[in-house]
Amino acid sequence: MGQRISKLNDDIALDHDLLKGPRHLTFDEKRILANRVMKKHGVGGVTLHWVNAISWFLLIFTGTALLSASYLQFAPDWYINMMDGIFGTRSAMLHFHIAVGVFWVTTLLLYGIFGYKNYLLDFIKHDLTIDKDDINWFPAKAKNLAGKLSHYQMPAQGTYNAGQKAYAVVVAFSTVTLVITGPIMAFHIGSTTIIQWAMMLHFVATMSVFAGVFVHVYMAALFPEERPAFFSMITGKVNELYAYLHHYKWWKEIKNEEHMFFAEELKKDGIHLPELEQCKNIKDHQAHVYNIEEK
Amino acid sequence: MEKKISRRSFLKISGTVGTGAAVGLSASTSKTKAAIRKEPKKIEKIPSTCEQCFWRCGIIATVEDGKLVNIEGNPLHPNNRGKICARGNAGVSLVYEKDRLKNPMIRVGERGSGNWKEVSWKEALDYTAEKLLAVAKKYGVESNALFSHGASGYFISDMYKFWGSPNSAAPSFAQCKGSRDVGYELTYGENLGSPERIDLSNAKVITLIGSALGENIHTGQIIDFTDGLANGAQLIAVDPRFSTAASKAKWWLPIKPGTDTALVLAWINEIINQKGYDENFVRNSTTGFSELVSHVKEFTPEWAEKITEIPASTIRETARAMMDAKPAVLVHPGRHVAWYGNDVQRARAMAILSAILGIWGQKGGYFLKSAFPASYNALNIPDAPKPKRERVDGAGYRFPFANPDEGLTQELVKATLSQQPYPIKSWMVFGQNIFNSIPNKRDTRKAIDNLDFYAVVDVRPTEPTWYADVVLPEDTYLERYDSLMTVTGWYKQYVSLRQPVVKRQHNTKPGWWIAMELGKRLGLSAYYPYNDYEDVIKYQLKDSGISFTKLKKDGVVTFPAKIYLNPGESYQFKTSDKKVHLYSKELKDLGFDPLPKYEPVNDPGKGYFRLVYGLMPVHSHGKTESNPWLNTIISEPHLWINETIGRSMGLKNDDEVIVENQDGIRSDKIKILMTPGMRPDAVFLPHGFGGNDRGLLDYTRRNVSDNNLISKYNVDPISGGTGLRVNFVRLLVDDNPLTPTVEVSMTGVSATKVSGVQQQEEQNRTFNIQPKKKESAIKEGC
Amino acid sequence: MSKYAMVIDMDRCVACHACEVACRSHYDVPVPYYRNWVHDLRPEGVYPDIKKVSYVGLCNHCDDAPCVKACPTGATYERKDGVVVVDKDLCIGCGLCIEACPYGARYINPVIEKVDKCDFCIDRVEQGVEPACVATCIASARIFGDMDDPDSKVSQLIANGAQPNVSEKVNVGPNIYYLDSHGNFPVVQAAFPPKLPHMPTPQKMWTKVLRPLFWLAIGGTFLGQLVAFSTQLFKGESDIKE
Repeated sequence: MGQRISKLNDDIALDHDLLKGPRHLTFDEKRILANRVMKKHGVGGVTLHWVNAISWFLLIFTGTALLSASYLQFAPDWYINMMDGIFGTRSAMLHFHIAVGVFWVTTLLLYGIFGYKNYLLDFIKHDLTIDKDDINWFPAKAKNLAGKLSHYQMPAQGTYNAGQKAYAVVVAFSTVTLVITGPIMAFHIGSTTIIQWAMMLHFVATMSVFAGVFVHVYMAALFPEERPAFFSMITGKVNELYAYLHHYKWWKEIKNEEHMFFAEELKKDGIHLPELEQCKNIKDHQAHVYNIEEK
Repeated sequence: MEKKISRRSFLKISGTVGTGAAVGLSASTSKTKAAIRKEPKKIEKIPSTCEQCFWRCGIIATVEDGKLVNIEGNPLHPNNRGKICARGNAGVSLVYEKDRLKNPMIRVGERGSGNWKEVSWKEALDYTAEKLLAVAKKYGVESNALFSHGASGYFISDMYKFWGSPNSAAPSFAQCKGSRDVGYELTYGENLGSPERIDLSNAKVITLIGSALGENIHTGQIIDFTDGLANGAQLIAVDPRFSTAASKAKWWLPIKPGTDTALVLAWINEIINQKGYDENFVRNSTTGFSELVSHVKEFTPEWAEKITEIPASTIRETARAMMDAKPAVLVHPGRHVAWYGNDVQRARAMAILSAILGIWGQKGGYFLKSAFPASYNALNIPDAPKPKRERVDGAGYRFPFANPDEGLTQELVKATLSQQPYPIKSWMVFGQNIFNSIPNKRDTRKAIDNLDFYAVVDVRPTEPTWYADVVLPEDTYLERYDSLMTVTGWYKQYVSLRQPVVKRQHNTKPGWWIAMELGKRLGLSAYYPYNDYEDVIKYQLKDSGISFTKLKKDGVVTFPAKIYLNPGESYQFKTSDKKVHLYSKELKDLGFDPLPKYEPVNDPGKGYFRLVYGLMPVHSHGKTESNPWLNTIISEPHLWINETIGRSMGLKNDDEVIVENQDGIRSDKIKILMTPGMRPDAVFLPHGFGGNDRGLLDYTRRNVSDNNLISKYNVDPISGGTGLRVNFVRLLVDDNPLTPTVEVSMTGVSATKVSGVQQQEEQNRTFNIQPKKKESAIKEGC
Repeated sequence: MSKYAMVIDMDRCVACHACEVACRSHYDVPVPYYRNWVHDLRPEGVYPDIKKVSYVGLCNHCDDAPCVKACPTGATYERKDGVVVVDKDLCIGCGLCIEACPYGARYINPVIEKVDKCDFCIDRVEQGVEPACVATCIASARIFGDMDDPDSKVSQLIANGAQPNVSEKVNVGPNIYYLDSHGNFPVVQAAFPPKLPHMPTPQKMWTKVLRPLFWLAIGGTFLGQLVAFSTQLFKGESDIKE
């Protein structure tokens, strides 16, 4: 028991120190944080992401091959021919596209209907709203990529960084557009004018997402600093070092919740850790800037 | 079509076998169609005979899973040779027309109140028979009158004969071709029948006097007509209106309406003067030529020019064309000829013209009727009783040459109005729109008030249905058997079968069944030794050598016909002296003119126009107007008026006017069509539209019927045929009559369409790279 | 190879509309639409030179068909035999082809909510039977056949001066030819000139503005990533533990 509390004390002490604001970490601190994991995505989120990703993959690959009129055509002829070959007939491909679309829309709707409390509302409120840090993040990130700014000097970020958020907003709007325009085309709803506009908006939405998808995939899968995010989409977990460095505000939030939870639990055992109880007071969402001066 | 025919061979055979192969091909094997309609499990091809008009083409119906989906022409049928007109194609839509009469009904409210109750057939027929018998008991059997039309009309008119009432009439005589048939019978001893035995496809000159072939569609006739034109026939179109035929004519003669006889007499005069007649034929096969010669002496082209407003030079030119082309000159006898009440004499003039050209039995002229090689078993039924009283319509006595088999509808109406010579107390109207066929519909309407009982049998609710005491819904022609249709006077002789192609859609019955059931209730069981008309047909054919099975399968059985005279062969005409009567002693004896004379027509007077009418190609009489497939093509009539006259009255195309006749009878608003192709003294209103009935027809229509405006009519004293083109109308906008402020004359200009023809020849010269090939190419298409 | 065409013999046509109704019946064309039409014109001219003309029309199965180009999904395509057909399975009913067609030959069938038009009755033709309108034509005014066969009637009629309905502005290689020796065809051409293919606003916007923009955006981000990735490759990966 004593051992546990002592261990906890150490951890809490470090946390408390870090909760005061972001700072440079010592090698030991890094090691400690790197060995701790935090839960970032629930099963629902992970599933949805991959359903979404696979659907998008299939829809874009068939969709681009369906646009065969020269004034619409996106993909090269050989690609369209190849896809025709894979599906046998163009109409089979169209039906596949529609079927996947229906599956995708259904999944999203189910997610929206059954998960709107647990997932959707929270996601919109917590992860899509943009604050001052987010706005400051874009120029900072540009400097950072140019090597002129270390990421300690970047505005602290929440669960998702501003870039991810902005992309998420585009994806959200596009998704709504696609969910509306897809069925209009697939099931011939409305006049030809409506279908014609639906077609154009469908492409605009798709292309908006498509334009960002390289960044999304590259950042997640290839870019070393963000790679833990990729694995988090499989395991649902990230190491705390990554969370601390890249999503400080989120890390802080989770830590606060964790500490309050500990405090409640320990109270049951009759143990009072005043430091933990302080967490109530420091729980806030103020903008944080790494209070480290660049040398 | 097991083996796929290669493209090359298809193109070779398409002219001959192509349509034949159509029989084997489902209308719906098409992939495009499959997208629209599910692939049917069962496809049947059933031949029958059309009755969208009375030409009676052979058709083949495609029935998919019990639903009629398509009608094509029967390639075996000589009448239409695999082709079928718009109306024939639209038979599909007739069967499923939503406005159809679907159940027997007995009126419960006032006559014309539109209150009905649906009853069973037994109840309806019992009620009808009871009412008819009550009239018979009180006034005599003859006080029951019938108006009928169409193939199933024969069953009911037979029933009236069996019962002993002579008072039945069909519009096909007095309102249609009666006077023509009488005129030709008086001249040749026989008429040209229906389908008319006219060799249009081989004619070198075709003369149409008021016949608007092209707007008047009889499939076989149009096939021959267009073939004839493609073979180089020169067309003379005499019509106050620039008809479709006129547009194809070498000569359009915009004649002053009502003066056709003068034109024909001038032609005869010119042909005799120029010795352009067939001397041999005139000498050997006619009587009365010398009387004719002296009779027409004064009827010179100059004389006719003043009357007809056609330049004498044009009359000479066209006469020359006819003389040069004889005997391949086809003077079309017309069909609806009930124009001025002196129509027998005009028909006589045309018959005489064709006689002196010697076209009888000649290629390109009038062809012959053959003897039918088969004979049918007659039903073993008693003879119809001789009626106790004379017909009220005067057919056969007051009108000596009227055909009692068809009767005189307008005289029957008059007798009902006056209740003279004896009361007429019941009417049955069987498949005839008496308000749209018989002139002066106000009389018709009033006459109904004199009736104790009035029944209507029809397929769809026509205007007369609205006032009926009992409405009996009949099967469409696609749901019933009718009697065999045997035609001996055609390129091939044939017997054609009408059989049900689709199960009846509603609680309707075939005409033969209605007549039979009524007959049995009227005590005429002896005349109906059958319960199913199919058995009658089988019995009739049993010993004829014609297989019923084959007839059922093919729809038609044909026999070769001898239609032309051999060179040098003379024809035994069916007149008393076996010769053509140029001079008619028969007429003379009854106090009529033995040779046709022109009777002057009145001028309409200022602000008035003569009302002429005619058909539109997609409508038959008044019976197709509500067919959705046809209505979508022509949904309302346009009143044709001369462009210059119309403009001077401040009108624009598609303006709406009210038409008012000399008796103050008005139409609803009618759109106008202004064209230089209309005589300035006449207006043209297409027939078959409108009426002022409400109610039963679901789709609303305006009172734009030509017959509504025909309140005045003449009656031909010889035939009893009506003259309907004697009404004058003026146009009103906002209750103000319009008056033309210009005078337009069509006399001043040569009516010959020389300019157009010359242009055409020049064009041909430039196009004719291989002139010979072109000719053969066109011939193959025929 | 064959190339199908139709000749309308205006001299023969009496404007009876049988073709129109036969087509309606064969293909369940709902009123008031048509795959095949006869437009009757008022008799016009100066007496006595009057023309009463009807415009008999159907899909022209153009060699350079604007509808084929307009169709976003490839539902409308030209077969090897020149027949332009609509694959109903692929059609999304957008109506772009309708706006593109110079002859007004297309309509949206409200029953199936897809575009429909004349296909030369190609299923009948493949079975050796003439198109329905040709088979029913009581005036034999419609002649169907193969232009690649010099002996065919259509070839001969075309050689003898049958003209397609084209104008100086619009000539997309139509394959319906009009035979006329009464000076009636110019009347039809004046009344029913082929329309310039029209592209509706959303598609114009897409083609002219949005598509280039997106190419730019996609190209830009892709290039950016490529640069970043190559840098990463050249530099070697620095681990997160700085």
